[in-house]
Amino acid sequence: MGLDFARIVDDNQSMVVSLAKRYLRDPETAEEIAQDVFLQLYRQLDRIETPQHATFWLRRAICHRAIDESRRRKLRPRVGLENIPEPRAEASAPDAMLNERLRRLVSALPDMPRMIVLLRYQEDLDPSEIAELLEMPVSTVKSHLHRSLAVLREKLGRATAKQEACS
Amino acid sequence: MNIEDRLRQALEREAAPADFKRKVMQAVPAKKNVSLFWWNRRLSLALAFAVVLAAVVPAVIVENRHRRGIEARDQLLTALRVTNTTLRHTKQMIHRNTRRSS
Repeated sequence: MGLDFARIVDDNQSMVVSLAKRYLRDPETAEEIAQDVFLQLYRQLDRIETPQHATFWLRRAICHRAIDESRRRKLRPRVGLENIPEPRAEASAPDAMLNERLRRLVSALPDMPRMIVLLRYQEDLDPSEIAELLEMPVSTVKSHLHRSLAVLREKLGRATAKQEACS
Repeated sequence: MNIEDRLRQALEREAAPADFKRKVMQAVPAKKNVSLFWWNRRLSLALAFAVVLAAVVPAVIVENRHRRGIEARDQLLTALRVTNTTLRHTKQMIHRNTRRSS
């Protein structure tokens, strides 16, 4: 086994940190957990066979650690999909602004739908891969995705309309 | 652009902080030292066990030999006693026979 740990960190740090930050919405805790997950991997490096295996392992580990951490710290009260805040209408709406709004909307989703949306659109995983990673039925993943997309579409549309009315 | 493509664009992975890798790599040797500490500890325990074995095993062997020596001596004494008794009986028989014939 000749896996280069420094190379694994290079290749996966952005994935691990992005997932943790966007899920936890607390950059410091997210970074701490991301480091911890890499150290956990280092301790088990002899069981990791390929770089792809390392990526798979890290993705699974960071998802579960972030979910556990969120539950433990109760970072935020549970919010229903309908109650997520709408983004403020901005004076100008270039792509960057729209992306920022979308990120804010995603970060306001409840825990499980948020993780599923991140895995689907940040990590580009199929619903079946997400289901395997989060240990839940594929139908549940699809249902979360469907509802989240509907809510995001609606909230984003409303915010854009508001902004158009303002301008 | 539909909402899914928008999401893919908005949720592109962001770069990790510049010092993230350095922090991870710095934490790794600390872990290695912890591991080394445990190996040293295991080695010390193994050495202590070896010393105890080196002291106990010869004592057990000597004790075993001593016990076997005593057993052999007892067996020899028993054999001598039996021989002695047999000789005495034989001697008495010869003595009786000699008296009768004279």
